[in-house]
Amino acid sequence: MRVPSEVAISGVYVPPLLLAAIIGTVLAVVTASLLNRTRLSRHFFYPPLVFVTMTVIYTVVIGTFFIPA
Amino acid sequence: MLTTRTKDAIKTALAFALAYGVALKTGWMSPIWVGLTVVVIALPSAGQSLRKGVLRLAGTVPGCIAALVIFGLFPQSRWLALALTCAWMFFTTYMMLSRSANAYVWNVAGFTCLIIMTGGFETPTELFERAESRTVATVVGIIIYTVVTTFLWPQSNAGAIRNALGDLLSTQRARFAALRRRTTDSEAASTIRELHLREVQQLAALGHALQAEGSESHQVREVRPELQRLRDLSSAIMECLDRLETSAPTGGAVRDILPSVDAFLDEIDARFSSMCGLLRGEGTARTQVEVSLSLDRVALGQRPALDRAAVVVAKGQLETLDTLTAEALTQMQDLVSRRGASGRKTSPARRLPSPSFDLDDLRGAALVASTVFVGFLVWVFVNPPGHASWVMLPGVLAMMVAGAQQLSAKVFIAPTALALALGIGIYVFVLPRLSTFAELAVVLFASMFVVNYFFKGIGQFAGMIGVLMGISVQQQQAYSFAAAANSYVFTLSAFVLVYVISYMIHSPRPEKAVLSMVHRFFRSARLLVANASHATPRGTSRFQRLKLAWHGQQLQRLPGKVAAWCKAIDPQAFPTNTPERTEDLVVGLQAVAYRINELLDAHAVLSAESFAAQLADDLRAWRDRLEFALSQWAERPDSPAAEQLQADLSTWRSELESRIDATTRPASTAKVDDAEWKRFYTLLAGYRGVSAALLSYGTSTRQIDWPAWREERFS
Repeated sequence: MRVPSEVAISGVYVPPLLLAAIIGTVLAVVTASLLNRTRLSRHFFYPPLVFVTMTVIYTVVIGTFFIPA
Repeated sequence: MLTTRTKDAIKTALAFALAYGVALKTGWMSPIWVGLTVVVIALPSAGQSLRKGVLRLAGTVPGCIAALVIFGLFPQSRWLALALTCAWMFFTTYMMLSRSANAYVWNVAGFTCLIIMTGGFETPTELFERAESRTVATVVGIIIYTVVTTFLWPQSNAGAIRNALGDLLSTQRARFAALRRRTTDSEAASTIRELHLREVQQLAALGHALQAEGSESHQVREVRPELQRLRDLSSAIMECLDRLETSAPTGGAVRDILPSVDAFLDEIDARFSSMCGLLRGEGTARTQVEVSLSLDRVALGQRPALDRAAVVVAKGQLETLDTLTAEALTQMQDLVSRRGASGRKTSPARRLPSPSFDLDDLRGAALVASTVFVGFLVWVFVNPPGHASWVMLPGVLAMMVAGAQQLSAKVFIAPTALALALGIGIYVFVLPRLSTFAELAVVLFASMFVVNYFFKGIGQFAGMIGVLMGISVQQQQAYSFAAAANSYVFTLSAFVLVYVISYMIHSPRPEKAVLSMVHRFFRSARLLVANASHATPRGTSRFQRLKLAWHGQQLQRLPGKVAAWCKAIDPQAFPTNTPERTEDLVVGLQAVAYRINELLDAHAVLSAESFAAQLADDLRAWRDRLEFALSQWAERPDSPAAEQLQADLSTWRSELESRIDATTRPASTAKVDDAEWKRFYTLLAGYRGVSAALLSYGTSTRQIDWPAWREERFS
């Protein structure tokens, strides 16, 4: 059975999902910026929804493979 | 020697630390409220701060009463209480957006109600005490900041009105001179545009100066109506110059038809000069010369009918300018000699017809009400960290966003996130080590000084709020990192919630807002032109009149809104649409709006027996062409409607000219009164003006890359 774990930052315990969500949001911002710059964003019907989706996908991927709970 | 920026930061930080000292000493319910009042009213001069403080108090009282009433009516029914709270927020936000003079009162009345309602009380007495405590904290905060700013490096607004008015009149005089020489000076056009932009800013600065100096000077308050009148006259003069800029015919033809035009214009220039001189204290002796513009009918008769019309209308506009400048000079002489108001009074600006509701204001109010509603649902059904604050904080932020719709969310979020992190850092690492108030005061002073010194504008305000929330000093202080971290996540989540809801209501992207407003502008313009012959009340239903009045109001307001949104467009994202091009768009829309208003005014005074009635079919055909162009632009702003209109009018114009001559020639020999001729020419000039403005708009906006604005992108 897996024991739930937390990440210690200078003695402060932070939930892994919070870190994954922060990194996921940053990656989504970077991706959105790149899509804007290359004008690929024009192919999306509704970019705000795409942004939310990207944030969720990145968070889940990072939370599953890189910073698992 | 300290800079003004350092002094301002020290004053705010000192008042902030003192406010906490007083609140902690007296044991008030929430010391944060006194600190918040100081942060909010911290403006450079005592007069400005005092005025904002009074407005804050004026809003706090009704906000508290609203909270007590809502709770009193529905203590056991949360959905009805929520509905009433949302209604109150909708109402106060709408009033905040539509009543610019008292916007802050309504803002405070809205969020105070939310703060009191969500304060976590168990008995009605607690609720009342909370409302009372909030009001007292506001008063004390105002007193503390006013005392500090009065005694520590006081900044006075004395002379601000005189300086602002002097600058404005000098600019108007320069613009008037540039308009006169535009036929001979090729660079005059760019000068006129620069002066116009400066004029708009200076008019706003005069409004601020009237409020700021009026708050601290009894002498200014005594003559406030006269000063306000002068401001209104300056605004009317600006509008008159706008109209002359976009409509007046140029060239020697005008001098032939109006031989006394140079003397007339010299007198107006002399009035501007006298007003500037009076403000510099250079005497009041100049008496005004009555001037008139005589019309050379022979020279007029030799011009084509449509040119005749343009000259007659320009004459009317110059006469309006004469009236306005004469009254402004009289008013100023009276003010300088302290004789009080006298002289003839004109109505400088067209009053907005009812109904006065505005779509964008309604949208802003809807954003706040729906944010409060969704925040309540989040609290009740999810109950994440933040709890009842999910109703309050997103509601307050939504009001802020609604009040500054053109500002990017980044402007609020980045400084708040940074300052909140600073505040939480202090809360976690510094505050637990303190044992006396003196130590706490140093920390409060230092943190507020840093935010005040390094942040600017709205970022400074957001930063101060961030520090205030992060440090979180209470009467009974306890430390919890989890609570602080939750507070951080909650605050940023509240921003996200507001952002998401604002996207659902309307795209906050500035270029999308511009496209939407251009569409609305041309839709309203088309409707007004289509109904131009119904401009008189006769024969139209009440609903129709209200509808036309509403569209007329849209026409007046939208160019200003487009200008504000154009400034918010990121030039790096759209390098082809330079600020100069978007400025052309605004100038073009403004000119179309003026010309359509003139056309409606011209239609409103026509009689059934006039020449216009005999040319009704031609005018109808002309209107159809204009309507077609307007509807094309309403559908697609990049449609080649201007080219089509140009082609249509050029083939049709000579035909129309001959029909006008055939209709008016018999009358020219008969006894037809001057007023009838003038009305007829004004109407013709109205049609000519709208056509010319549309052609000019089409030409000047041809370079705008509309498809780029339509493209979807991440904001």
